[in-house]
Formats: sequence, structure tokens, C-alpha cells
Amino acid sequence: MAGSRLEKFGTIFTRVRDLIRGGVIKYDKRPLWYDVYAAFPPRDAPLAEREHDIKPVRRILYPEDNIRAAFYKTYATPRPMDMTDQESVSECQKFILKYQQLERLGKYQEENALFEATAKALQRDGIVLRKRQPPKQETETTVSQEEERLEKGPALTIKLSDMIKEALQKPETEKP
Amino acid sequence: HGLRNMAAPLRFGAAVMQSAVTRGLFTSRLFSSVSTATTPLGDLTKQEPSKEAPSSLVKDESAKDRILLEPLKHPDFFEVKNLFTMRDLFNAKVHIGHKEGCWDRNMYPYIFGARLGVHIIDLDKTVDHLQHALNFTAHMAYRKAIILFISRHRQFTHLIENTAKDCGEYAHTRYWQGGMFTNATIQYGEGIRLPELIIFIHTLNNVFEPHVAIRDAAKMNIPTVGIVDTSCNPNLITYPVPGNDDSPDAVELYCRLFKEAILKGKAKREEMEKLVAKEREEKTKKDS
Repeated sequence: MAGSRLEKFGTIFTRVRDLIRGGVIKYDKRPLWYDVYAAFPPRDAPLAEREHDIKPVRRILYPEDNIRAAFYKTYATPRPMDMTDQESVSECQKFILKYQQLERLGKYQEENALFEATAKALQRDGIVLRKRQPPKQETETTVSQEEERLEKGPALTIKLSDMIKEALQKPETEKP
Repeated sequence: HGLRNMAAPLRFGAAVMQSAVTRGLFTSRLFSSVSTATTPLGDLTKQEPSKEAPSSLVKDESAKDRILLEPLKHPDFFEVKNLFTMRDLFNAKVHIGHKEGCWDRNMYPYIFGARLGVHIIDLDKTVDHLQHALNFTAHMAYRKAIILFISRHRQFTHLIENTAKDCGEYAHTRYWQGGMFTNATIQYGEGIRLPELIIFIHTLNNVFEPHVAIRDAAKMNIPTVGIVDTSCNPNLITYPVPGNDDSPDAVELYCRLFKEAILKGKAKREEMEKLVAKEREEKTKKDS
């Protein structure tokens, strides 16, 4: 049974079709898939090398993303989300809905005021959100850590170099 | 070639090679032997012994032609569009691709956009391509093709082997030896019949490179259907289906859809054969 193993040139269909045309494969002995492929060809011919006019892939962003960003900056994730429950609405989504409601009313002009108002409105509905603690700065922590160590006990601050110095000094003073 | 002289044409699905052809296989039943490479259509007619006298062979031929050509006239003979909806794909997380950095540029036409660094696959295209792929699978099952499921994702080995068992087809989810297709006549003997359709549930192997069987199937002129994620190369796959291949929900969905398409194809075949047999009986009654 003849075939063509040149997968880099043309598609399986073009190769088999041309072999039939050339008389190498007899039409009666064509492969099983030939008729089906001819009737229902794929959307794009399966060529090994293809050119794409690649433009930057669009970023998927929504207007509510601004609200989401502000929400997560202030509150972090209130509690773990149950992904298996398709019907549940997350706290963030409820926040967004309330925010958009208040925005439509038009009472508040500034974003901060609108944000605070939404938080209060949700509190009234029964959803309590705790603001997350701001992260500590690095220099403050190192100083406080050393102070903590000294407080706990002088034993934690012993250094081997100091011990050796003391040992060397003692015989010097004892020798007459 | 003298190969057809060798073995008498065996009935479809009879002699199946159960031997440990590839390392670590016990459920992967690979090939039955009729003739080399792709099965010529002429041989299919020889497989089912004709009960009638040679004089009515002409009628027999046209009946076989009718069985084979009838489904090709309809755009969706097996009603494959009813098997799934876009909402099903969304719920199974089929639209979620990999991170932006590890994409294959050949997947560009199938990507809708990027959400916070993760590529999102265009489900409009997925629906279209999946319907096409299922339609082709059903047609091949109707024509009694050998269908081979391939995946090298170890998490789903068991699932895919069971899927293949349930629809009466074959699966290969273990290490792929070099010359399985390209060196088949030497590795398995002369009268070997290769699969006529290969379904890749995962296109990549364990080291995130394209599976060798994709290139080998293209070499041996075997059509392939494959689920391609954003990190896969869809070029050599005949009917690619852009979609997520890592979530269990998505993979279970694909296995279910392909199994149903294959079973539909086989069921329709039985129906058509009975129909044609009835018509033949009625004709002979009328004649006599």
C-alpha cells in the first residue's frame, strides 16, 4: 500500500488526493476517511507551517475592575470562596452591585465617598467587612526584633568572639 | 505487494493483539490484522460474507454504497450539535488557558484575550471546532474505523482507558515506542492494520513537547482529532479543538462527548444495515 510520509508538505488530504490522481493509489482502494474529509473538511487546512498575523492579544478588562481593585486593596479576601457552588455571589460582587446602585442615585460625586457609603450600606444589609492591616515596613521590624531579644534574656545575645576575648584577658590579669 | 495474498481477510475486531507490545500495557489493545496501513474501502465489502448468489452482487454493491454515502449528504447526520452547549463548556472551564508566557503562537487565532495574565480561549470557535470533530468521529465510527485514544497525562490514564472500553475502541496512554506507526510492519508483522482515527485528549507528552504520534499520524496519512490548549501546536492536527486540557471537569466532558459520538455512529450503522436488509428482502419478494 503506497503512502506519502512528507508531513511537512501539504495536508494528508492533498497528498492522498494527488496520489490517487497520479494513479499510485487506486480510487477503489482510497482510505476510509477520504470521503468523510471531502464532505466535511476542517475549518483550516492542517498544514505543518502556517503564518499568523499576530497582533497583541487583547486584555480582558471590565469597568467594574476599578471597584474590584479598590475593594481588594482595602479588605483583602474576606473568606475563602467555594468554587463548586455556581449560584453563590461573592462579597466583592455584592459590593460592586451596591456601588453601582449608589452611583446611579447620583448622591455622591467623589469615589472615596461612594466607597465608604457602599461599605456602610452593606453593613446595614448584614455583611461586615474588616479592613486589612497595612504591611509593616522593613526597618522598623529589624530594630524591634533586636530589642525583643535583649528583653527576653542576656543569654540570647552571647557571641563566641566575646567569650574568647574574655578567656584571653583572664590569664593576663592572673599572671603575676 | 503480495501482502493481500498472505492472510485471509479476518473479520473486523477478531484477532486483537493482546501481547505486551508496549511497556506497561494491559488494557491497550492495539491493532487487528487485515492489510497494511489504511484500509481500502474495497476490503470492507469483502469482510461481511455475502449470503446471496454472485448474480445479485450488483445489488449488494449498490446497497453498500448507499450505506456509506447516505450519511455524507446530511450536514449533521448524527445530531452531534445536541450533545453539548456553550454553557456546558463554560461550566467545565474549557475556556481557561495557560499563563501568557507559555503560549504557542500557532494558537493565536483561537485565543479570545488575556484576563490578568491568563489566556482565555474563544468559546465560539471551540463550539464550532468541537462540533466538526464530533461529526467526523461519528462518521468514522459509522464506517467501522479503528479509533485510538491517546493521552500522556497520567492523571487521566484510567478515565481514558475506561472511555475507550465503554465505546468498544482502543486507547494508548502509556510510553510511546518510536516506530509504532512508522515501523509497524517490522514491529508487529506483515498484515497489520493501523488505526483510522486518532483522538488526542492531551497533545503534549510528559515533558511538555508535542506527542510523537501527531507527526507519525500525519506521516501515515491517518486523520487526527485533538484537544489543543494554549501551550500546544495545533498545526498537524486535522480537526483541532481549542480548549482546556488540564481541568478534570473539562477532560471528563471531552471523554463523555467522544464516547457518545462514537456510540451514536455505531448505532446508526446497525440501523442503516437493518433498513437496507429489509428493503432488499422486500425487493426480492416483489421480484419473485
